[in-house]
Amino acid sequence: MDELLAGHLQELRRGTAVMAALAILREPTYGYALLERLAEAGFAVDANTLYPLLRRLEKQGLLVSEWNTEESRPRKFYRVSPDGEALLEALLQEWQALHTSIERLR
Amino acid sequence: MATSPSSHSASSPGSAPATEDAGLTERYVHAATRRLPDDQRDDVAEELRGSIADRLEAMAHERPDLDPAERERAALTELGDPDRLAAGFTGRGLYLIGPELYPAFQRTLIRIVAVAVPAVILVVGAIDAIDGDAIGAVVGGAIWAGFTALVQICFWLTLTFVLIERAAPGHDALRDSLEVRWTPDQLPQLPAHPGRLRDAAASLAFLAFMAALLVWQQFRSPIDGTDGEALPILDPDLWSLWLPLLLALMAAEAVFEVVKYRTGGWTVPLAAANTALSLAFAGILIHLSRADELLNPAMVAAVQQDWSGFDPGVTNTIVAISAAVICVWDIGEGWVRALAGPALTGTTRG
Repeated sequence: MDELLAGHLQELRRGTAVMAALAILREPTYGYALLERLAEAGFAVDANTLYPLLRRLEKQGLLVSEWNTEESRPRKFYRVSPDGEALLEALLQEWQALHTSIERLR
Repeated sequence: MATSPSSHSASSPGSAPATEDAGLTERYVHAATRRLPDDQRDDVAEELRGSIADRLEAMAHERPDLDPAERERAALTELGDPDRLAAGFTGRGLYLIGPELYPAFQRTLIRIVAVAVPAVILVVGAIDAIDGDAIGAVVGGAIWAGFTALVQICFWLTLTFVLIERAAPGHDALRDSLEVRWTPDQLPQLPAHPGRLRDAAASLAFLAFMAALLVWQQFRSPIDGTDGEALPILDPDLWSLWLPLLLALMAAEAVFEVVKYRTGGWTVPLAAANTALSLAFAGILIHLSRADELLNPAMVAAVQQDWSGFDPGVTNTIVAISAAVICVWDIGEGWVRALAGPALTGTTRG
């Protein structure tokens, strides 16, 4: 039963990882730090899923990136673009609508 | 480039003889980025190197019991197969034929194999039989040819679909011709009346028996010549054209039976095809028997030694009349059922 629940929870969370990442990236963050923050928040995304995802979101114009060479090692910092903000807003609205809809169905 | 602590083997190769795994991270980064476009490769590699270094740093706090080489190993294991990561970066699928194409691939493969492999077996078997090979060699050669054809078809068809899978999207004409886009027209018919399956199976078994009989009489005829050698009943010269043609007609008849079963019964086009096949069968048999070219003269002579009254002319007449009667009956039955069909099945077809 726990395995069954875990499987369905994973399915449910899969689509929300993009939302969570966009929400965190309102502040510039680099890949590994984002991974840790997502894990802390309960969105267990694999590193080998997240790193390509960041590149894809950047290509879609939802994120912008910048290399920071001031610290011990160069890191690529990602931040949401205005388009990314708008998408997050739209996704959150849909999320609310789905929640309302499900509640009404119960 | 040399800012990452894990790339020390690349920056100072002479100073890292301690462990063979010193360059694992560099090897991993290379494996994950080598297929990326030039303009992305260095950027992705640099970021990946940094991410791995970040992970190693965090691990140093989480797992102080591990030495650096073990940590590097653990971190890379966590990150998983670099080819999977590379596929994520390039957006390429980790499959040969994806779920969009797979049903069309499966349908096409089954259709081609079902027609081509039996045809190859029959044709190769007939040609070897004409050449007068031993029956064992004929059967073995035909089965081997069928197997080779199967492997070739599977390989080339799979390669074709793999290439289509990787082709840039927009080859709609190609996809349509392969029936990738599903339409309700592709729905199979409902399983026919169970009796029809029995009829079809019986017809196929009968055809296989007749084909086997045709080959058998050439090699294992019950009639012996004066030197004890088995004499073929039919004239062996017929193998140069007529008997292979009859075998090919039987193969066509077998295909016809399968199509008829899948269609779910007689239709006007099926009755027309049946007429053509029946006329071809009967035409060949009537022509050969009337021209007295059907029976093997050596066999006739051998029979007449024991039974002087044996007249090949009577046999020829019986064959010709039987062929004509069966032909007329078969054609008539096809048309009667085809024309009566829509009325009988009207309730199920709406």
